[in-house]
Amino acid sequence: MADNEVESLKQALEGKYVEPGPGGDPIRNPKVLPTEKNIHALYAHAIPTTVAMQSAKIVVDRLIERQKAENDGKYPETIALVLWGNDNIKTYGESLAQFLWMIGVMPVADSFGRVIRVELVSLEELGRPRIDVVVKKL
Amino acid sequence: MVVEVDEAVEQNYVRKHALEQAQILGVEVQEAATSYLYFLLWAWVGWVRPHSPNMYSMTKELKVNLILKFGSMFHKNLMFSMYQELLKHNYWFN
Repeated sequence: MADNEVESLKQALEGKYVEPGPGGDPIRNPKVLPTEKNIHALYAHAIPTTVAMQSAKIVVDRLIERQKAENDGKYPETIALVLWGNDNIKTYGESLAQFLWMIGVMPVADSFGRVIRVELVSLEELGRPRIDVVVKKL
Repeated sequence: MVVEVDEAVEQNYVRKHALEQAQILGVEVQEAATSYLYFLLWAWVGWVRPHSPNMYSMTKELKVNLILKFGSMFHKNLMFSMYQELLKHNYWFN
């Protein structure tokens, strides 16, 4: 793998073509390997992925329940999030998915898997109030 | 979309806060919900103060001028609201 990377680096330095490919976490996306590619961060229309959304639901539900327990049974009205670029690249939009799940909406993908819109999740399905989110992008 | 859905404010804090903001600013709820520049400005204020030691030694006039100059790109009602908030909390003027 290291040899491949050095070879690709040499090609790039010589101004030659290096095949592009996805970057990110190889556990979440095995297509990241082998690593000698000219990596691109992510395909914006592909995030948040279904897996990222599933992970985000667990994280957000636990966070809100913990906040509720620490606040005399009251739900938090607002939560602040930092939207880290690298974090979203590695997790394929998990932070973005957390934000969406807090306010109670779900991404909807078209037949090609591209996220084209979001739709409301009913309060019955959500099982809690919609939490306001302040997002700071870094 | 989330602020426009017909839900009780106790079950929709996004709508609750947007309605409050709309009342303060005298704008429609949709506009209040998308007034991210207001929060952007607050984020800027929050960043500048801890990162710029010289800000502590600024005169009140200079601070006000800085706010008005920077804020001139924002909606006048947003600026007025922000200025009131600054005065109310004595944020910079101590």
